[in-house]
Amino acid sequence: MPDRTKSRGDTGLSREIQRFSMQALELAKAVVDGSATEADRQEARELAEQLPLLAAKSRELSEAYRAGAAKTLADARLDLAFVAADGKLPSSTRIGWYIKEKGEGQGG
Amino acid sequence: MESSRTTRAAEPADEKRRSGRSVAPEAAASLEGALAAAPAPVARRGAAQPLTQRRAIALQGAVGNRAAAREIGRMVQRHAEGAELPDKGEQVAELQEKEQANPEAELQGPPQEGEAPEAEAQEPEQEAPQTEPQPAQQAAPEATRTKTEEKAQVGEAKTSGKAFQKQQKLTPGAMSLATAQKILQGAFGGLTDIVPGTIVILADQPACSAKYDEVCIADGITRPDGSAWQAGDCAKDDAAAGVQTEGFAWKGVVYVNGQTTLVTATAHEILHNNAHGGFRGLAGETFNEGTTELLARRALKAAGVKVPSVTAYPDQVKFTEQLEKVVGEKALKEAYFTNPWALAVKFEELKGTGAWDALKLLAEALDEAKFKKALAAKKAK
Repeated sequence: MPDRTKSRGDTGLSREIQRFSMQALELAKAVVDGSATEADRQEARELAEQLPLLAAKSRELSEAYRAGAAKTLADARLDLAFVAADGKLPSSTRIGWYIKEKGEGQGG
Repeated sequence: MESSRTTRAAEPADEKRRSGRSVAPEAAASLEGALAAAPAPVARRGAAQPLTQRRAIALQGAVGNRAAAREIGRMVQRHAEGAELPDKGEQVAELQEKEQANPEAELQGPPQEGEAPEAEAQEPEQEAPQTEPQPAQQAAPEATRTKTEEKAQVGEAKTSGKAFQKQQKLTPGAMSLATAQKILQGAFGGLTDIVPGTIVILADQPACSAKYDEVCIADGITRPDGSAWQAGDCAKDDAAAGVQTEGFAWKGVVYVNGQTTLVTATAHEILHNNAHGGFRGLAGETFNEGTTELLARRALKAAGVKVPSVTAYPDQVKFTEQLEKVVGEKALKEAYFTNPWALAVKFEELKGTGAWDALKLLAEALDEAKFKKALAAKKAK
């Protein structure tokens, strides 16, 4: 019998992690778009400070969620560093594809 | 601060594109005309997209070859305004036919920043992790395939899948580019020819961190305190954050950990390389990652690869599966590879004007309750 309480807890934490990572992604996209502001960079720094706590919580997830959460947080770490460095650092793969797609759109 | 984060996370990706890109007024007007049959928000969205080779092909699919040729002709017009070309209709149609025969050569611009470099190592045939970049094949052949080709490609996919499965028992690790390409070609070769792109599969996670340091050092990147980047800095930053870098991108090359526990990792990245350039903007991040992972999982399963329930992007996959139940698998796949705008059109045909943008916002916010409600809603009159 699956532990439904645990499953609900996993879903909630997994979503929290995904949303966190989505915020990092949007900030990094703003850097690629050239629209990032100082407020965005400040937000990236604040999010980066939350990362260790979220990463620690993610280790409590069941196996079904853990690998995905670990990758999502690692991507967020790279994207937040990318924002802090104003795009002058390697990014997550998802930002790599975003840069490529933008190149196609502009080159087309 | 919290409210600004929420707003940003929920903001549709194409809103930024809409405001950040310029489209010639005449091009926008003509596209609006071409998409007049679509519900208003979709037509506006279509008009805001820049003309790319893929977009041009999508336009052909949506409004027909001749009308698309007329629109393309207007957008790339270079002669003096008002000076009509002699036999314009025939000439545009002829150009369009040539573009269909060799679309990349006709419409592709010069390489852009962030695009894959052209001169790279050759595609390996072996399963061992690659250490050098693979080529991004620039000229994609015809998207469709004959029944004979389909049979051959599906057969190759299954053979590759079985070989991978067998090898996993001996030395688990990431799928090679060659294997993933064959599996994806077997699954989706009827929609597009799958090209691997410039992806490097590294030996393991420490190799991934080391490669990150290597590219930073090679490019003279400095640390936040202004000091030079040093070997070990990536791992140090990872440790401070409590994560491990599993892959990254730099200068058009995607690097992946070859010992990843996520069996779909290689196929997932290759699919991103083959997705329509407008899909992310139209569909948003949730459906973009969800569809990519869902398609990767299905392709691997179809090829006989054991795919565990553990998945990357579990929530995004879940939301995408729910969307698929409404629009159908065919519509989702076609949107992903060839015509993103058709997905919004289809959804709004079923649920009413403006329904797509509303759904996308809920998906971006991962608001499952409201998302399900929106999917279940009857068409607004």
